[in-house]
Amino acid sequence: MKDNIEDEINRTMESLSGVGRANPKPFFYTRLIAKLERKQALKTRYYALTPRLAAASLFFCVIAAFMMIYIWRSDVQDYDMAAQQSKIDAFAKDYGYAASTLYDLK
Amino acid sequence: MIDQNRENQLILEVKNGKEASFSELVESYQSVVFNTALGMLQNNEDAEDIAQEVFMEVYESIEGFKGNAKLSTWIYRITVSKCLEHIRAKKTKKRFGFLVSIFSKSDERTEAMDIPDFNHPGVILENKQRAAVLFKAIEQLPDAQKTAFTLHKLQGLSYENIAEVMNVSLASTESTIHRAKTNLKKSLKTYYENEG
Repeated sequence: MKDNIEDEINRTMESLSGVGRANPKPFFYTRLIAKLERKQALKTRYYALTPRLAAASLFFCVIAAFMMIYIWRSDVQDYDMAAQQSKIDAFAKDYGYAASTLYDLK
Repeated sequence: MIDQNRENQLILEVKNGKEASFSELVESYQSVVFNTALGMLQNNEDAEDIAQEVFMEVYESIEGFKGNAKLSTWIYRITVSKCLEHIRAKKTKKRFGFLVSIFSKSDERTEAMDIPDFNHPGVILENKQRAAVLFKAIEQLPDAQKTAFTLHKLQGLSYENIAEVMNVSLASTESTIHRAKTNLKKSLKTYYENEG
């Protein structure tokens, strides 16, 4: 029984010796080229989704956001300075000073 | 296979976009690639898909091929890695098969569960049954053992060539194939004991 199993195992292990070559279906190359062309067309169509372009878009968005913040902050500063100036003018008028800036008050 | 001079020329021509040379390259290696994939995947359709993917990869990345390894070794490497990727993807799919089957139609469910015996077209008739049993056992082997054993047994590659393809030492290849044979014998012993 044991010898029989050993024999079966050895014969099975040798069953792939001298195995012949299998061939792919006909027109392998034609189908390959068609697949390659489909892939190239898809690549062109989705070029906008390439990581490099996505990173560049993100970079420009961040730059635009920083510029917006910068412009907004300088607007606020201008507004503050104008408000400050009008307060000084009112103060000077009330107390008869002719000072036009904060520095002239000292 | 093609001689070294023609191979170098062919690589240059494919790099320059000559379609006739790419066709010659595919013609020269399609049998090697298809048979390697067939041995590892044990499915004609999958082997054909992978063979096409291999040549697509060759076409797209031949620009970066520096010639450090032989063209055949490089093509074998791409084939083996594509096959292993496919096997891993299939295993993952199988692992989640149950979950998928809950939400899928009955046809898809049976497709996922049904794994038929593989009959290699190159095996002679009297060995078909034994070869199918051996292929089932090969399928259970770990990736490295499956790769080394398939390249040796079905492609007839020498241990040196297998070491180059798998990028490991010769000693490691010898040991991997030895372990593969031991594991296969264990699986076959269990199979024949249960059968008898």
